[in-house]
Amino acid sequence: MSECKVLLKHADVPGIETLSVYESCGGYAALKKALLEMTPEAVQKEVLDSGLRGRGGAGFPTGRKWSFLPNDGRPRILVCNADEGEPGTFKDHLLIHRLPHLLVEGMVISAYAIGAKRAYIYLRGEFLQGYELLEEAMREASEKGYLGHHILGTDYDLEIKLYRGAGAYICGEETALLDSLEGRRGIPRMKPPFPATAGLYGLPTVVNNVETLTAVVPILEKGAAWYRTMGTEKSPGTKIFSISGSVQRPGNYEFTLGTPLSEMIETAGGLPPGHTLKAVVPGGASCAYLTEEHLDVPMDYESLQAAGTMLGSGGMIVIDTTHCIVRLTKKAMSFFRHESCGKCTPCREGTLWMDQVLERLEAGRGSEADLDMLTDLSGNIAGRTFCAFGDAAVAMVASSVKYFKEDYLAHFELGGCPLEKEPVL
Amino acid sequence: MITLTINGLTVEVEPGTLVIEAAKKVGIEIPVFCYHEKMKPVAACRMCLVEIEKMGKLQPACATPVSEGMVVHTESPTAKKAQAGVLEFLLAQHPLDCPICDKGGECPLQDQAFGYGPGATRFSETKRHLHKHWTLGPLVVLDQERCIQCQRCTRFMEEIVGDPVLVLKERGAQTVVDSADGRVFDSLFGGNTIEMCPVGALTSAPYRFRARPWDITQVSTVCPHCPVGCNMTATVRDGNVMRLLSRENREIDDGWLCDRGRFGYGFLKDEARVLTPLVRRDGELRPASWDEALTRVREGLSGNVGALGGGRMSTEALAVFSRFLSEDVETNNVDWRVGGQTTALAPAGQGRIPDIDDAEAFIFLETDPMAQVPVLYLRIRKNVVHGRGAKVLNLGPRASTPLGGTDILYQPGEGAEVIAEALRGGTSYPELTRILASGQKIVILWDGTDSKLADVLRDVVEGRDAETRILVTGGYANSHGAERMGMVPRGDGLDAHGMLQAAARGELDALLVLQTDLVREAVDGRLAEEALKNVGFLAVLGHLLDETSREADVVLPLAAFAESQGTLMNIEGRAQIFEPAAAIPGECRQDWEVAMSLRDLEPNLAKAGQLMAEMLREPPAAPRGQEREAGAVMVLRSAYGKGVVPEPYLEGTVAVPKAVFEMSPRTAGSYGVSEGDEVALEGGCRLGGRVVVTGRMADGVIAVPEIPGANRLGNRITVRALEGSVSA
Repeated sequence: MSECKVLLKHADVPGIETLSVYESCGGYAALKKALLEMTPEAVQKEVLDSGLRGRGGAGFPTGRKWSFLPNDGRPRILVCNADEGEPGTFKDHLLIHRLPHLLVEGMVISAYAIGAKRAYIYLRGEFLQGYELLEEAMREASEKGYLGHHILGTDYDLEIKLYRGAGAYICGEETALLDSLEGRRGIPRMKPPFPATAGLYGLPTVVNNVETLTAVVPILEKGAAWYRTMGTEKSPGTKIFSISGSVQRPGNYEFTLGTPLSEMIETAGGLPPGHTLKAVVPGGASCAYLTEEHLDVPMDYESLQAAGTMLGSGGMIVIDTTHCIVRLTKKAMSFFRHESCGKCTPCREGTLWMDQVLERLEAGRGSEADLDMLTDLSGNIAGRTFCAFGDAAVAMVASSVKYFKEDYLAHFELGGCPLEKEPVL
Repeated sequence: MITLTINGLTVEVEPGTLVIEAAKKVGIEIPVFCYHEKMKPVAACRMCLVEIEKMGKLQPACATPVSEGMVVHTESPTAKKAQAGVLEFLLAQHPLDCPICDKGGECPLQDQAFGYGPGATRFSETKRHLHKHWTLGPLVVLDQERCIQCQRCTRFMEEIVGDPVLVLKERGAQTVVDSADGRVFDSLFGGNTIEMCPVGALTSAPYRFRARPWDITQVSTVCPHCPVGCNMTATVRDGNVMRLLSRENREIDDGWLCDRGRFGYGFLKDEARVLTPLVRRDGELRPASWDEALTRVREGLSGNVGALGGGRMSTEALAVFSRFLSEDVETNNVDWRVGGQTTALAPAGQGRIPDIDDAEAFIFLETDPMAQVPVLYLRIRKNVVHGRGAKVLNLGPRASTPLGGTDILYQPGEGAEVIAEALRGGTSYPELTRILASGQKIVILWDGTDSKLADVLRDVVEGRDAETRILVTGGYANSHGAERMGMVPRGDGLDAHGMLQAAARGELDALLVLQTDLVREAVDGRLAEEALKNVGFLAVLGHLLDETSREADVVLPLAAFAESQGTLMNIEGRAQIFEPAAAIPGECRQDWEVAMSLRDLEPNLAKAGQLMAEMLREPPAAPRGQEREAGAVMVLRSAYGKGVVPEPYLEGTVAVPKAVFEMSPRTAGSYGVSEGDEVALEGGCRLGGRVVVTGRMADGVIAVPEIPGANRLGNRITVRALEGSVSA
């Protein structure tokens, strides 16, 4: 049961990354409907009515984001955020490598909807194969008249430029992405102005995640009302969850939003025999831990927020009692320290400091006072930084102290990790 | 207007005002690091986070505009915790260098740690290590560990100067400031970054480790190097000037200094400094007493006497000298204009520096503002790039300003005709015609040399229906004062050029040289040399033993600007007082003291000041132009050349002109040279340098910078390519 394959319906069809197979599975029907039967405004309305929320992590209603573009006659830009940097997340990886045409189709429909004649894909540099697949898909699409000049014989043109990133997580933040796309250092910009009014090169720009743009295809194909039959009222539709960690069948699974956490874990094969669940990181390393108390929580945006964490990107990491929470938390903090852009004081200094402290604590050289300090430092970072990276960086560490204090204390008492075969000095 | 409440106080401000500005208006200080009044906010340091009701998170006051009814709390427990938090974070990695750091004692990080910090740190890990003596350039040394990444320096260079040479490299806590592409940080305005750095990261190379803020005194002074008259503060320790800082005057320098002024104090201790009066006996200059020296001067200045220079002296001294020369020496051969200038005053429409801010068009007439009045270039740029967006016209044989606009190139001497034609509605230069005919406010910067331009500029001012303001850039720090004190030829008196010619022919009995190295600064250096050799008696007042004073019969040593007091009149004619900061070395005397002693008066500054005030009531004379021979060579005159040279701290920096010869493509072709060729210009002397081919030079003219020997070249030259360097 459980999986609801909308985006991934044809993911396993051999050759689905090629145009001919994609078409034979019904591909580009939605594009034809949108361009030949609907106005851009109508397409926008369909997406708005569907209640689709951004799938990159922030969950902002997509139709609403599109509506912020000003009517001032300036050229509009669509940017696909394919930087997929959130640790634990590999859904966009699947979409790009297996379903490049789904992304292309979704982008053309979306660009048409917002009146953009230029679009960019900012692709994480590490996805070299994905780059080649997308290039090929775009070439095929252009040849067939689905992209380029006079798409499907209409007077709508769209050019998509594919751009590779250079390895910085912060370039997944939309304004840092735009700066990187412009050839500058990828550092977040001050908001306001928002990208809708001053985005790429100062032009009105919409930045959407890969999965968000692919979701536009089934929404246009089957309609907003159909989309809303799945998921919850505030979180309609389906989402791909990248499930990894202590499950027997890690991988990408598509569920309707609101599916309980336990069901998702089961679908991914459940924990290996003899292993007990300790914690779950629900949506990538930027999210606070959930514990076994939360097994029944519906996986949707609002429920997770109420549980003190986030749906985020849906990068779910399942942790059992044989894994050291302290080590995992420290690894996450090392990631954030490495990836901090350095602009603002709390994040730049705080991630470095906390990484140093966690290294010390993992080695058992700490006390409860250090844990209080970590909680307080987290409070001095969250909500105080230039961008959301600060909040992301402290989510795991703050929740680890809240839920797993005994694990830390065990390290201090032992002078190392109780789960290590040999003591860590 | 918008009304809001900050800490219970009501304040009314214009829409668009930032919370931090509104707070300042009611005397509430919000701590900052990255915020700087003159630059766009970046909200990076997070020090200014304040609580604003109805806004969920704390907001940076530096980047949040006010809104009607906003209620702000800058000292609530939450705000205070945020401030303490930021400081704890900054201090975590900040090296404990205070005991050896230049900034200690005048450091915003220290002050704010004391005022807003947590009192003690919880940090007990290992601090990161970076370069602690990173030589960005000859004048600026960076300690990367101390840097708090506020980006003031990088933003200043990009936003204000327009030269983004400083950049951030790496990421996160490894972020460091460095120069782009390994370039040397060699900007004429680089020193400002030292002052604005809120920690001891950017330090002054000449000042490093030289003094501590608690054993110095700060004295107000005015820069003596160019007619802008930037206000400065001299930092003095044990009677020595240790450094110069800006002393913000919004109507003049706007808080900036150029490096020529900022680092132009090294000459005070130069070994060539003359510390006692010198009198020539048996062919040698030997130390003498003031009495003896003064007597020799009084005796020597008889017969056909000329007086040159004075453009750098205090107005008080010039008042007394003026009377000395007219009443005691009885000569009309008096001239401050050794550089060939016509005037330091605007022929009409005398401008004030704030006129630059609301100009709608600029005309740079035979001047290079960046070279002659550097700090005004920043103000002009602010208008063009960030303000009104004034149009720019560059007129002359050479156009230089990197602000775009239209270049109107013409042969030397043709300027008056070009402007007159445009004023008549001519079609040769449509841009110029259009702007002159428009209702726009025009600010003209003119170097003040070609006398024909003085007349035509008067026509421009009077003929236009709109406001025209003129600033004359080619004088010295007090040329305006010199001219007002009558230090120009009276009646049929000889002008500077005439005096040198007369002296060279042996027709001048005596020459009094007032604080100028004639051999270097005269239009014709060879003529000056001849003049000094053949004049009957030569008395030189100055600071240094140079090519001019070495020829003197008497040298009277003067106290320099930082050691004396008086008044300077800047490019606007604004009188500014400078105070004595450093101890007067040796037996030097202040210039007005020497002047009064020469008149056998008891030295008394108040009396000299009264005389100055009296003479200021007289209307300025409009001096005649000096005869000039136009030719193939155009010697560029900069603020450096007009400063007291040499300047030890500026050796090898961009402040010292380099030997490059600018010429148009056609001129280069006519001499058979190309871009980058090493050539020798041969005329009255031989000067080596590199060819720069540019479309911003009139044909047939070569621009020669003010390098030693430039004024000996003369106007007829040959250009010889040096061996092994001619390109195809």
